[in-house]
Amino acid sequence: MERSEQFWNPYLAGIALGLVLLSTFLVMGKGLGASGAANRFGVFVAGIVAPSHVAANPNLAAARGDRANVLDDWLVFEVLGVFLGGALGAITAGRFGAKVIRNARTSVAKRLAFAFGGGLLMGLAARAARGCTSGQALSGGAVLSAGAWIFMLSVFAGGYAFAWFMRRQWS
Amino acid sequence: MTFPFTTLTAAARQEGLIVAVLIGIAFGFVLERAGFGRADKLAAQFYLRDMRVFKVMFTAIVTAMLGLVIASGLGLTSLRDISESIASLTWIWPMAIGGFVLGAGFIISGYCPGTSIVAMGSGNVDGLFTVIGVISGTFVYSELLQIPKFHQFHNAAPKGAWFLYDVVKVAPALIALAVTLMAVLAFIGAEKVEAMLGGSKTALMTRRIVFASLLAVALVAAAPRVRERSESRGGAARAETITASQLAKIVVDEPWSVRVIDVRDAAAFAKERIPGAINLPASSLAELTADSRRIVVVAEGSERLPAVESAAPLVLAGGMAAWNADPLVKALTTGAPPPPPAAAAGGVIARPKKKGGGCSA
Repeated sequence: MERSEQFWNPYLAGIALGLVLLSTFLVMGKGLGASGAANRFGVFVAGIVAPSHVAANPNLAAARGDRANVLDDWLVFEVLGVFLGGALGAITAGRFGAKVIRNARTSVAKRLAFAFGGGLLMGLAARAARGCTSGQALSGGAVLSAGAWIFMLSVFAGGYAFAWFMRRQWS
Repeated sequence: MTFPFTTLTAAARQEGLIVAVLIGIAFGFVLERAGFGRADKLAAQFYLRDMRVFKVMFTAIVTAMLGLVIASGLGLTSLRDISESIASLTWIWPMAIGGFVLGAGFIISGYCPGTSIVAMGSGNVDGLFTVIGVISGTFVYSELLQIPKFHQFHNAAPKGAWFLYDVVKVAPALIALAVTLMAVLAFIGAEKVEAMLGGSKTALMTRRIVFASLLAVALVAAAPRVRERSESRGGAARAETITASQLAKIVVDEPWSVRVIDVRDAAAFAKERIPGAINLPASSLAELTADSRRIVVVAEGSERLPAVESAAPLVLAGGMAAWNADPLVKALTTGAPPPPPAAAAGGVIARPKKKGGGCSA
């Protein structure tokens, strides 16, 4: 097998991920996350483009809390780390480089449109669920939050329900 | 209680944020090496070809869960307190529907929000587009929240801090044991399905060692504690309460979602108060008009709970005394009590103008 196609044994990767998660719990008193930082970044960009709009919508203004900058939050720094860690993993495994993951039946434009559209749905959903697969399912699931388990089962249900419609993209 | 460290206090915030970046790097690196920077590897989960997502995720959940059970068993942390600090509160409908929609977005984009960042980091342009989509989605949601009906959905079926051991009312250790057992059985099932569909197989030896280790740890860590009572919120007959840790978390993370009403006398209020609290006599609670924010009532201690009739307020368990004694509160505040508001003594109420919900996660 080509080096760039080698991945860790999923169970060992899971244990490694679990230890990172446990350390985060004990050191920060918080769970890992992703979508919370996305929300803050969105408010930050909107604050530059249309500051009056952000001020007029309390849901946007509230993201800042009592800090001067909406990006001054631990999750934003954690997500910056995720980006760097992803790059580090890809570089050291010899699979770093600009590319679009797609099959022969899916054009680049179509793939990127689906990537954006799916992302948009996930952004909406993560706000409703108070977190995404990282913050809610993984972190909340590990501390046995009932809401996190409801969310997790729903994520798998949603994925399997729509898998048939998306089969051409992933076959 | 040793954990959690007070990593994000005002005094050590810079160091805390550096730790946050390091934690993120470890998180991103492991996800990349697990294959989660690749949309095709992630999507394979939903066609049962390669159930990597399920295996990695549940092994991680079981590992961290057992770690916490052990840490609390050794007295290093309080399981319930740290869990309340980590988990969000539960709202059944938005979480169930949000989960379903997120699952749909997952199979459409090939990523979840976290893994799209890993994909972007490893150079995948589709990952970048998903990240932009997620940011746009969270932004659009803030616009949708302006619609009253939608805002109602956002706060539908609130359950507060709600854990599986509150639902079935058994010891947390027993739930941990059951979750571990179910995970291992599901792993064995997943391996069988993959073998049938001719997908990738994990080395048998590694599998056996991991499964046996997880079960062994669960038995040793959890089995002696399955008869312990969970430190839950007690019987249903009691007035609904909120713990100081829970309230501290809300006051810091989403202050706009709560109205803290302090019913102690003005002098006590002027001396020390919960950030954002307003001072009202207990007799006027019934006159409060309900809005989307939860009302939390603060008294001196639990022995002086006022009679309340208004829109189902939560009562701070143990009152101001519990608030001052709470380790999370101590960790979050710098030590100096916040200055009393000028209007406090006169009893004039300055209601915050912010309305509506939000989301910290």
